[in-house]
Amino acid sequence: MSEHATSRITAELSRRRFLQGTTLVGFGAFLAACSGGSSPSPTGAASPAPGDTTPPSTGPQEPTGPLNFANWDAYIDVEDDGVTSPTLVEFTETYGVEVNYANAQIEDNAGFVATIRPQLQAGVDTGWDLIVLTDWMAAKIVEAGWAEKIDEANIPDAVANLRDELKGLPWDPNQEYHYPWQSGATGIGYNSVSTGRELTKVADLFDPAFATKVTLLNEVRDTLSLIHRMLQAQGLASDNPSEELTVEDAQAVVDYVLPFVDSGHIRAFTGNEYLADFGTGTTWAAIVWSGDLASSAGPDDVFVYPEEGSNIWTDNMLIPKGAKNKYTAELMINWVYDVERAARLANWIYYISPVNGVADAITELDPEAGDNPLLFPPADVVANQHPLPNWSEADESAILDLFSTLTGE
Amino acid sequence: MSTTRRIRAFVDRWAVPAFTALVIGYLLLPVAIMIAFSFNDPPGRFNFVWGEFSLAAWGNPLGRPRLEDAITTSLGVAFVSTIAATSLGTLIALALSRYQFRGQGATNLFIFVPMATPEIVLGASLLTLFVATAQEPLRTLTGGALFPLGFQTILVAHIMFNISYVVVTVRARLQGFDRRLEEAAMDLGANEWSTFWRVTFPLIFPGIMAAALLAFSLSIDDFIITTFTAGTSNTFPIWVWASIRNNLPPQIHVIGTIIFVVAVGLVVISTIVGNRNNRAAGAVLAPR
Amino acid sequence: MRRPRWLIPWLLMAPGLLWLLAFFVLPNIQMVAMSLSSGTIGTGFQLTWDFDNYVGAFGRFPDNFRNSLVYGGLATLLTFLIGYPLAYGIAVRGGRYKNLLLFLVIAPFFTSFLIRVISWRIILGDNGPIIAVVRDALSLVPANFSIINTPLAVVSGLTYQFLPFMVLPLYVSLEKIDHRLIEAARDLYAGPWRRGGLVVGGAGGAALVGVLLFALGYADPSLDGLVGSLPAMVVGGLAGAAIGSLLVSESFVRVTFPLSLPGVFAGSILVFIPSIGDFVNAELLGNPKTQMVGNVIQGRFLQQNDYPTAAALSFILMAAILVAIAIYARVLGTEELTGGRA
Repeated sequence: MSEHATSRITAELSRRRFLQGTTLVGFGAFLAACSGGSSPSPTGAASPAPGDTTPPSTGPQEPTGPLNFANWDAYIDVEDDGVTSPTLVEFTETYGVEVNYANAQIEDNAGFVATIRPQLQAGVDTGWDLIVLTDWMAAKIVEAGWAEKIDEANIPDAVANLRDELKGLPWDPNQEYHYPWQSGATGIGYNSVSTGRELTKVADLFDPAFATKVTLLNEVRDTLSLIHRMLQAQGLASDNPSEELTVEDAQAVVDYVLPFVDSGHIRAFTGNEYLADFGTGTTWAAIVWSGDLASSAGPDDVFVYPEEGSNIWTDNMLIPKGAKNKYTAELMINWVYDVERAARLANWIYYISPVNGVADAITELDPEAGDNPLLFPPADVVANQHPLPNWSEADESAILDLFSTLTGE
Repeated sequence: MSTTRRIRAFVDRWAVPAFTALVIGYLLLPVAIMIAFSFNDPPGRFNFVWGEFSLAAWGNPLGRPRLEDAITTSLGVAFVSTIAATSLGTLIALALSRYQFRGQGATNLFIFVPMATPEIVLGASLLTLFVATAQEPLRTLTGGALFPLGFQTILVAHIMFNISYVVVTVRARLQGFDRRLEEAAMDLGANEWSTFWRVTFPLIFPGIMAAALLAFSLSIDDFIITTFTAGTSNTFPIWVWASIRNNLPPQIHVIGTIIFVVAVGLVVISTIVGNRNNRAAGAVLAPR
Repeated sequence: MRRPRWLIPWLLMAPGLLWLLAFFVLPNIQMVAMSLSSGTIGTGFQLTWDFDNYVGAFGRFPDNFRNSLVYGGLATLLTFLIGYPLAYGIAVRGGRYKNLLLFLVIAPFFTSFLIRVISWRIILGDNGPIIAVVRDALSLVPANFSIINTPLAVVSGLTYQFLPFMVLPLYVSLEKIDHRLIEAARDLYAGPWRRGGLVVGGAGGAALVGVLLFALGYADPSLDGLVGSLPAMVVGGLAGAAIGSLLVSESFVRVTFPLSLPGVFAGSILVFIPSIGDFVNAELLGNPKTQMVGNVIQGRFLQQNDYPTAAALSFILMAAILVAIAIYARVLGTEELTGGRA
């Protein structure tokens, strides 16, 4: 394993420690900014736009608002006051449309979609103009015909700047319904003090020395495909690539893991509770998301891109069917594909940007970030990154049933 | 022998208060941790691990996007739904325990059913109903009042799931209630209305208060049903649950601490004021 | 003008019942239909009167049903054992601080559930303070002993979560007891409950320890397991006998406790029902073998999109709970609470 692929997370993420910089002055600015409700309004707190602020030709259409934008938490840039997002404030200044940015509205893909599915099925406005979902869920929405077609004429920057490796996905080959927001990796995380040694591969999770101290993700795609690749490396599984993981492959993984669940070697299937448990010695090693460890956890918590390869996933912007402000949503998609704006976002979010040229732009903002393997995975890591599987409905239900024998649900 | 008796007297006197203090300490233990971590400057985005002492989060308690909105909605829903559910539930409890009528058994059992329904089923079925009100024929019937989703739909749901809890709690007070007190009041010339307010209500008031407390705590902490009925609005529990996926800022602990301190402070003040009034009233009223 | 007598209760109940009719019964009719449907989320669900959903739901998740019953039952028992003395202490000895004490019981629940769980994870973690004391300082437990991700953690979480639901109704019924009754009882049955306390407390203490050891998986359900847990049961029995004979007075057993039965009933119902259907404690504090029915329902709904099974499971759960309540009411002799002779 190359040295830079193993990233020791230090506590020196100065930019990330935005909370330290907050003062009562910031609180006052926040009150001023928020007096009009949740939508950021143009105030003195806004910094000058880093990029080209002239709007692209808007044709005959007029932006309408407010734009209802649902996203995951900590997925947008904010200033020291903790609430003002320069990207959104400048959008409002440029187009004169308020953005109702619903930070932390989406907690998990299935949970969020469950709250809009009845509206989509009934053909009623969901209330949202722009939502962000992980690829496999985005694929389902697009395949069900629940996404609005994006008008290419309104998103020239996005068309020009989208990274090539993210194009041409089978569920939306011509980029008609979605544009990526950010990508992240799934790999191995551990507390180096607890384990007492370096971990380099998925197989290390099954080291008897770590019995009862290992957790896996309660996300069927992440967990099954990582362990499937481990079995491949050991010659115990089919050669199917991760994105085409079959029911038989899932069965093989479950057969391998089940004894470890029964013996208690694997203590739980979790969300990211491992972050708390690394610190208290409850969990020593786990399957984890890169961004969690990039921006958090203690000094001894380590993320590795495992030798067997890591998972790569992307969260995508979609316009749900019946959205009231479709044109404004398209303007927003285009807005975040401006290279300098994208660099500013990436430097805050600490996941992988889908925009070409961000690596160079970010170095100007922060020389260190350009070298961070979690933001810009090195070439050998990228070559060994695998998308999450996208199953047919029948396969998915069979595989979820199998997975539930592991999780006990 | 007298030593044994003294020990017994000592145990008798102190065992119950000591146990009470111990259990309240146990209940408050997580609160103590929460207050401590509100002064933390975590090493990362998650306030799980102790970093160093800091007042930063206290200087900027609402300094996270949408946090203020979420808190306002949560408090609003909790107050209104507590009042509404406590009123509706108390009326049901009164009817069930003070009258004999056909259908009483069925109603009694029916009250338990919403409590026994998994929250996700309550949430998902309500969402389907609310969406249906946006379509014909319900749209004409309801005037589309329950759509789009928002404060009003969260409120409807919270009142719904709180009613049963109120009924069960208030009924524990009404059980074995001495109806002769009311009859005596009526004999003395009070009408039903003033009998209720002057005799019945004060007697069952502790039960109503307990039920209201329960309803408030259920409402302010509900996550699952609320996610289905919230639409584009947000509540504090939704905010916290969604945060934990990507970060957990100390602001969550600060807000929790503020809610705790304000609530306890209000009760302390009302206790002090109440005691003073009681003492003043004690001079006039006969001793209990 | 006199209204007919039978109309009054219905008038009182009308607003609340109409609310439940509109926002509970009406939406759930569609769930009943869902539980009898077949199909998939992609092709849509058709009402086919498919009772196999119920058969399958009941047959496929025996462990989850068992976990729900055992953990829900234990949580009810533990909240009662902790909550009764607490409610008694507040109601009888609380004096002018009654309201404050009562409020302190509920105040932790105004903060977020997740914050409380995270706090417990910090306190109970494998290198946390509690384990450090019992494992390292006192050597009471083996080196690989954990609390987080065990049945003990799930039951503790449920007990903590639902303790106020027990305390509030108990308080409400204890507080109304006329103290003159207790004083009169003291005159009649002076003194402690010696012999009864010794027997009931001893047997209860031993049984409680035994039930906890077996239900939480610390003792194997075999003869060896029983023999192994005997010492602990003896200790429990002695503790129970001491408490029963020293702290419990005969007047309490004969007067106070019977008068508080409505509170006991209400409190156990308020704890048992939500804890049996709970899923967050098992999800955040448990392990794959401690998952409850609520977790299956949640998973079927959100992950597997298997709505018919989820709906069928929840109706089975509801029916089971109603049956349990009816039996419990009969055992406790409080039939009138659930509708008399029905």
